[in-house]
Amino acid sequence: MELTIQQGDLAFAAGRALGSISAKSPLPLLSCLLLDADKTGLTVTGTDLDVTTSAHVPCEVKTAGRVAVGARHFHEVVRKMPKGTVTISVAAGQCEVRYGDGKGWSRFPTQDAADFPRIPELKADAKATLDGESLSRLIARTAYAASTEETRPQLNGVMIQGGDHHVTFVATDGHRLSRSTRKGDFGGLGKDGLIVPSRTLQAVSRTADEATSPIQIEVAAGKRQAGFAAQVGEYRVRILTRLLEGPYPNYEQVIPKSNPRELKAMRSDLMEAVDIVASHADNVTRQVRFAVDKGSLGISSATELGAGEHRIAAEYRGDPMEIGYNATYLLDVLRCIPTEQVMFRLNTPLAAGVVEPVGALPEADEDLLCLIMPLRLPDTSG
Amino acid sequence: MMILLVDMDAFFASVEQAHHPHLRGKPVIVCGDPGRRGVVTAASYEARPSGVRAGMRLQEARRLCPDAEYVEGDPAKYVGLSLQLLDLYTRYSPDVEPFSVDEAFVGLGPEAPTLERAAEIARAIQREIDLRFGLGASIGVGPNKLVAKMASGVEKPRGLTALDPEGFRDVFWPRDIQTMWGVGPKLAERMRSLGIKTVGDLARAPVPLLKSEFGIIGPQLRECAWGEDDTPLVPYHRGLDAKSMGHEVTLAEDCDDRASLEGTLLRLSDQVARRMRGEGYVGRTVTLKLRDHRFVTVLRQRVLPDFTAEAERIYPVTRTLLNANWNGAAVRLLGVSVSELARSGEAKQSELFASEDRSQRLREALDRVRDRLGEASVVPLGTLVHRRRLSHVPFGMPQARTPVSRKPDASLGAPAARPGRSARRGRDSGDPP
Repeated sequence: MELTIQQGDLAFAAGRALGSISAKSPLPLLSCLLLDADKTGLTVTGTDLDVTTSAHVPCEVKTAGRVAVGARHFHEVVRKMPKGTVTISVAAGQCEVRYGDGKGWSRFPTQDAADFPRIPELKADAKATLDGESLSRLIARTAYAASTEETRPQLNGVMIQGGDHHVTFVATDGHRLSRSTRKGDFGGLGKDGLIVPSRTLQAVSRTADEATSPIQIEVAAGKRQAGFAAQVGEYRVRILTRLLEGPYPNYEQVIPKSNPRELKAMRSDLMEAVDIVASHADNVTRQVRFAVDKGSLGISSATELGAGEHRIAAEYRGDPMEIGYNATYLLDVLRCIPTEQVMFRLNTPLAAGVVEPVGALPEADEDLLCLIMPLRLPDTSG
Repeated sequence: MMILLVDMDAFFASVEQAHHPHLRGKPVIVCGDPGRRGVVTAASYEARPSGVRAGMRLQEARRLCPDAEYVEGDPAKYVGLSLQLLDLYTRYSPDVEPFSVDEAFVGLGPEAPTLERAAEIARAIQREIDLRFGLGASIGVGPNKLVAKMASGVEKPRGLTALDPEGFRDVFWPRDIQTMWGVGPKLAERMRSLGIKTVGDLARAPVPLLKSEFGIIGPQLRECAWGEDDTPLVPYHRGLDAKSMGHEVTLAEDCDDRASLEGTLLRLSDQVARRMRGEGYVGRTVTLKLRDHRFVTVLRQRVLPDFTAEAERIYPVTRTLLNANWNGAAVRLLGVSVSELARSGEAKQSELFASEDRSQRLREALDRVRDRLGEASVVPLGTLVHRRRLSHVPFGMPQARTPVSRKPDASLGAPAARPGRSARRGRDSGDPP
């Protein structure tokens, strides 16, 4: 293998591929990047067997070839090299990178590329495209609510459901839920939905942010695989992932349709209040107490750490009520809502509450709904 | 101030004899593992003449004492009893310091100005232990912890030895240096090589020599040999917060079968979670301990997003840690612990999906069943598969017993006790028969 490439291009490709390499891997080859040069350029691939990222960059290839090098080390060194042309060549089990017009060189031990895990071809049976900005936003509005625990692995990701009129992103950990939709024809994605691991979405989100083309989503439902591909300038980034196995819980069923008590407040006021009061909250439950009354909302907490109360103005019609929440969940939800005001639609102190933006979202063809389950306060009855 | 050291006689074995009348008067050997590689955890006084000692390999014990009843130990039961004993001591004095599962120091204040008065109180404690638990205790009485501890070993079982420093010197100075508290076999060997063969020799040895040979500990031990000790008694306070809770087990045989290992992890997770719920704790950091047949030990941990005391959440983490860190070598020991403990909050997080609420209610119901009928009454299925594979002998079944019928328990709606359960019932009950 012998090729000439720009340092920036090589560093980009290695950096993106590194994103799919796990910190501690039982197999030495999984700590490696695969460098694969053909006449179109260089493709750098990293995988942990669940998620595979490859980045293709055009360059001048003299001799095609494949070689595996230690991922972290290779990226670390290449990143520091001066801008400009570098040449890569492989000889006698060493991968040599020359840079700076002969100023310097680095050599890396190689592994046999033939042993690198084979990246399966994705035979897509469903396809869709989504612009990068929207995809990144839909992920940001939902992924925080996903579970990180092995107890219910199907919740460790975001459920993406296609439809003829819109696409829906949903995530929940059983205590809160976030659902974000975007209008458009996404029938090609299939209505059954795919559960994409949160870890994959981190990489996808990064690529979506820098993409200069719409993101192509391909799904091989039978093999439980999906691919996300986009152009980043001249580069082509492709993320291939194993999908999580369902069934995903019937989330539509738990979204209350007619919660009678409406509470409207300024989002920034509420976040500030929760943030301050939660400083006293119990480490385990993170409990803060909402006391809603006509025209105001009191947020309080009291533990051996201290106690505090913070009142803010709020629109509320209905009987006074007290309800407990996990402050962390509240702040997560409030952070993802982009409007100035938020609306809580509540029922009883034990039932799911809906939290929604008030007024239109900045993107008229998108929609957002969050659910948050209360904490059962010791002094409320069921 | 006078100090007592209450040392339970052959604690584990005596507990078994107290709980199982058919074992009384017979040699009883409590062992850790039912498998052939276990060691003796305790031997009853009936078994001791044949030379069986705690720590001895089971194989050897069987050779020395083939007629003994071999019973698998039940640590939870001993700990439970140990706590009840501490409760008993605190009614004589608030200053109680547990020293081990079967020993505790009791500090007596103005109520016992003399050695004689302290010995009377010791006798009362001995009587009460016998009356309430059917167990024997040997008590040492002295002006400090050292004398009390060493005196407790003078006469056993059911001994009572009260010594002042003078009495201490009379009794111990002629004795071998290794009888000194704090002098183990290695240290004793080094002392003997210096000509210090008895406790008395140590008491008269020159301080500079001891200091140069043994460092700071040398002169301290010399003080001890005179019966002097100013180690303070640190009273045990109920509710002192634990830092972590864990269980570990040395497998009956080195095991490289994934299903068995996972079954064991499930059992350990279940035990840890039960204990945490029982003591009102939740925790966030789950640690797996893995030791292979070459004694290579790894500890790996993971932090959960929030606190828990549920086996259903602890177990999958331990399984993931096992999969990520086990190289396939035969495993000797597995352990599960949970740290970053906190008192479980009063507020309960409600669940979005009804199935989770149902699981929660099921867990609570199962806890109530096990609180009443014992840990073995309901166990996760995965652990049973494992038990059969290892031909696990349930604890306390040295011989077949005739089923005892029990009154139907109205609150649980049990129509009649089944044989297996009623046999177990007697076993797990914490109360003496």
